[in-house]
Amino acid sequence: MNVEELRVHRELEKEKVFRDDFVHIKVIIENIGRNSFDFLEIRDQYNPQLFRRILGENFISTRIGPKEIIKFSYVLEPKVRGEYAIGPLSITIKDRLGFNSLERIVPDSITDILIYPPYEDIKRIEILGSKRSLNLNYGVQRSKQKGLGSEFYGMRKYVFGDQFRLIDWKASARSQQLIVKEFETERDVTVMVLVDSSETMAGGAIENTKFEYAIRACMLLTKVALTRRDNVGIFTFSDKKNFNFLKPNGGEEHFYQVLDFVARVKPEGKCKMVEAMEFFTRRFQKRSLVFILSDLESNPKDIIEAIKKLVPFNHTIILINPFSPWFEIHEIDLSSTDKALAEAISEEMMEHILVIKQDLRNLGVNIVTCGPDDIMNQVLSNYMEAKKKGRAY
Amino acid sequence: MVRYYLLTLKIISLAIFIWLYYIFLAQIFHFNEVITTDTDEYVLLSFIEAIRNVFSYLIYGFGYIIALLFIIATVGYVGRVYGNTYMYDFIRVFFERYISKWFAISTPQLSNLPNLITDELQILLNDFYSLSFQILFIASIYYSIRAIFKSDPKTNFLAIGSVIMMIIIPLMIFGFRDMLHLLNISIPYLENLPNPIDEVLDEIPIENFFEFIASPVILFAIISYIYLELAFQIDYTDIVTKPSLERSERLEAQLSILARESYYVNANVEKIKEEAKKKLAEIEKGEEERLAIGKLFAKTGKRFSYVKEMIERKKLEEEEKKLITAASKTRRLGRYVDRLFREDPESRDTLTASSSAPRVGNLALSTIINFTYRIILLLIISFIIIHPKWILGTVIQLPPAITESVAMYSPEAIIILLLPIMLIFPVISQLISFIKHRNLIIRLKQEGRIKEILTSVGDYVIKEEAKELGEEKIEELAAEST
Repeated sequence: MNVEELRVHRELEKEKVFRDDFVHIKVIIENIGRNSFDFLEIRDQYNPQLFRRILGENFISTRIGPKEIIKFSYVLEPKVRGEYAIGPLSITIKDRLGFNSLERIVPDSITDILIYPPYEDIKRIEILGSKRSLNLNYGVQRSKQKGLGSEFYGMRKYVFGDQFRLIDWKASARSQQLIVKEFETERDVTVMVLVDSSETMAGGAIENTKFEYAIRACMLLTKVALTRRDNVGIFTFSDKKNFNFLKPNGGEEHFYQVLDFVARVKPEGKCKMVEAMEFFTRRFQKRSLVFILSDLESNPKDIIEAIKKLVPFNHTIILINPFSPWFEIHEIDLSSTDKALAEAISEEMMEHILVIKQDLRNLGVNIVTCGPDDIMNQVLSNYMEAKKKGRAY
Repeated sequence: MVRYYLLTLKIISLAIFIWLYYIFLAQIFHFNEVITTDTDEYVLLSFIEAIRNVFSYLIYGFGYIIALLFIIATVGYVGRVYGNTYMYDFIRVFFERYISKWFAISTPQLSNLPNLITDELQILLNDFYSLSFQILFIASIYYSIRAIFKSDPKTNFLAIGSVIMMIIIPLMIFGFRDMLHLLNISIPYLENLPNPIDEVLDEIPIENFFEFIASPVILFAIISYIYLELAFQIDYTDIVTKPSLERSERLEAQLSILARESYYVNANVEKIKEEAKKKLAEIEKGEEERLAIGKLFAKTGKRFSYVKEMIERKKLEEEEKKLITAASKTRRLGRYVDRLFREDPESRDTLTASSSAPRVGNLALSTIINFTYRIILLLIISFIIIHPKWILGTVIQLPPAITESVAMYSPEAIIILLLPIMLIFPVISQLISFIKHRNLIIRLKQEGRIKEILTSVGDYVIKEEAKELGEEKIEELAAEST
């Protein structure tokens, strides 16, 4: 039994996949030797906490003849966003009577797979957009300035130098003098999404943590903002080791850059908001619409100080606060002690946020506290509101 | 196809067992010797009668003794009234003339009882000896039939083991008797036992290879081996094919259910949504108006329960989402599988792993090759072991002083080759386990070393990071100063 004569490798249908999508994994075993393997067991390992096996089986017990190729496959559904490994592949070969066996891990049999946040929110928005219920086509920033936009602003008499294409011939004919149309200028806004990636954001069920919701909200906001021709930049922060900055940019391509960027971020480290904002202001100074998604579970003084660092740059700041108890109490059957504890924690948390809220109001920053079922709506509606009011340009 | 192959193997196995039994009963074992006793009585009946008699004597004797003890205890009072011997005579007459009739005891005197019980026990032992063959016979038939339905070599071992025990038991007992004879000791019980083994067992032709193979005992041994070998082949075929077959069936069933459900969901999307809405409406009935999350913070004056709110919200969401999520997932998966099968035509085969199931032709070929190879090896080894003179003289070329010695003609000469050949397998297995153990230690040591290297690299990385951080700080300071 020479295990070296077995060539085993894995083929992934795709190496980047959305969280609610499926991925087909194929394992190919080839016996390049002249002897058969009477009993062969191949197992492809994956972490069941991160992936759910939907179809097929990740192992096979069979025999393989000389120069024979065997294939088996299975379908996984990723449960959690991030960059994870599938594998390794392990081989067990036994003799015919099962007296002797040999187990081997196939070298280099780990494949990385990048799991994007779920696409369902975006799909929903796309469907709504296609129905024009979101008014996406008219969603560019209203600048109330005349220019070369598409929105009608008014009419005036023709003066020398005006473009001929702007002449409204009907109106000119009616008034017997040349009249030109004027349009509102359309200006793009830079939206910066600052996501707290500290370990406190990872509380709750692994699939539905505050961080996961924040990432989903960030993705949704990016999609909507890019569709409206705004530039979007991302900054995830916790401690000094975990500052990740993605430069603001626009266009369809940038959305995939954002996807790649957010898929790789893990919630870890302590929240050093002051340092994070210092870092951010060093990297980016342009006036913009800043969304901060944070559970605000650090010292209120630090939070205020951190926000103060943004204020001089004239950003429009919207602080979205996923309220921890709503995300973390995910078990319905809580014991009475657990319920009492949860209530006490909730009350304390609420007091904590109210303190921050009060102080930030003086800085003109509003905190929007939300739960898992309205975080998306809150982010979107605040973005819309800001655009409508023509803030941050 | 594999199932038919397995069934064929099992039928062949049964046929071989019948052949084995035919040789056993026709040429090796005289079964009639153990069915009836010397007095032409069935062993089973005789055995039951002997048990009955032993218990009768015991009960009778026990009652007799109790009655006597009672008299001894009360003799003072009764003796004064009736004379000293009257009560003893009364008990004796009562037991020996009346009670003994009921127990059917021929010599009912109390002093004769031990002898009677000893005689019956000897009959019992004689009968048990014969009866044990009958039990083994039934056991072997039972396990051979069971082996047809269960692919487990243990069952075949038990079937063959029972038959072989029927040979080993008399060989051991009569071998022991002969050994005692050498010491001038004789046990009457052993002298009376019937020997069901044919003399053919002592006459194995060892000079000629073909006569050796054709002799009933060797043929019996070879067929026993073939039967066990076939049992292992059946077990192997079952082990190696069963998972693939089951997987294939399971996956096919899953795919057909998925296709059906997906079709149903597609056709009834609206209906499912309606159902979900209905469920939600039922739950919401009687519930208090839910607070919007944003408004909760406005109600700071009022005390409210986050937990209660959360639980209620969850309950509503669960019920609402359950149906829709399940329906949506089924539909998505259905669509995905359809697309997968369209884009990758072999994916159906790989998912069900139907193409990876071992082929019957390959299995049969490998079975025949393995089978033939081992049988030939077994015959040669058996011949070598039983006939060491030729090997020692011709192959090993020992001097004639050894090969022509009287010892070489004694049965013990077999041990010269039997022992080394027998020890080959344990030695090889020990060698394999030793090499494995050594390799494992080497690997663990290497891993330990790798870990050490990694740790040192980790330190290096940490140091480098610290350095970088330091540099960053310098840059920051420089930026601030400018």
